[in-house]
Amino acid sequence: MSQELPPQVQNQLSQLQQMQQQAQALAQQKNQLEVMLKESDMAIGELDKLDENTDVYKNIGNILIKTDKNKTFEELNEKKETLGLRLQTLTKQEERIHKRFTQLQEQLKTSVGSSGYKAE
Amino acid sequence: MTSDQNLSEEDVQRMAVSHQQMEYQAQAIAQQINLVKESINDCDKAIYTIIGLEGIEEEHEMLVPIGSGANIMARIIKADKVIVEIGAGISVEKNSDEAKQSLMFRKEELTKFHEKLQTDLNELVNKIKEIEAIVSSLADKREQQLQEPKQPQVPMQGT
Repeated sequence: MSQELPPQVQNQLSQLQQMQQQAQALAQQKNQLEVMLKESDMAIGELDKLDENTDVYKNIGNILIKTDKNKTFEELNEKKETLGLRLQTLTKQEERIHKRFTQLQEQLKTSVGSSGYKAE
Repeated sequence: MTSDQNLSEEDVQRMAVSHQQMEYQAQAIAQQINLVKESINDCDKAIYTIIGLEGIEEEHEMLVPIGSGANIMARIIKADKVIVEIGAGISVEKNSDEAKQSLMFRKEELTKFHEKLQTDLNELVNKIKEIEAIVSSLADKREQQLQEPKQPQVPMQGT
């Protein structure tokens, strides 16, 4: 490219790229949380179907420890609640970034238009 | 897809970008397919192990692998029980039949997912090939145009 971008456009472009990376990282985190939430839901459903005296085990590092079914049930419900709240926060953050991204994109279009820059 | 006759420079650039994106996507799906395949094999292994343990009595001596080809000696305490993970780091005790059923269900779900991923990958590969064919025919035409000798302008001679 022989024509250099004006500094203002360069700045806006790098901001846009940063925002895109942030959005990608957020989307990944959200995805992980959604998977964890679904897994907790499934585990709660499975536990619900079990007899009262079925042995339940919990992962602690590389080993499995025998645990109480009801206690596990409560812990999983608490975990689900926490995950749900974190997911809500991330969704709001994602919306904010998306809004800011669109604004910046519009600003960039205007800047490119007014500087008369034309890509070759 | 647009006919290559009417493609502008911008169209070609756009196609190059989407070609690259599709290639990244295809790589990611291929990796996912391998992981799902491994999980299916893992399910099969567990099912075969449960079947293999059927009929074995309690206190039977066995070797438990601890990695790198090393084993420790153990005795089976509950021969008809299997501990199966149900997600979120929780495992539950099931009898052999229930354990087999739940592993078979997991395998079925994974197989469906594997098929879906394979279809997605095939679609992407077809799209990638389509773009490659258009760009290649466009390149051929341009090369032909460059190689065609320009007709020298011969002045008209009156007879």
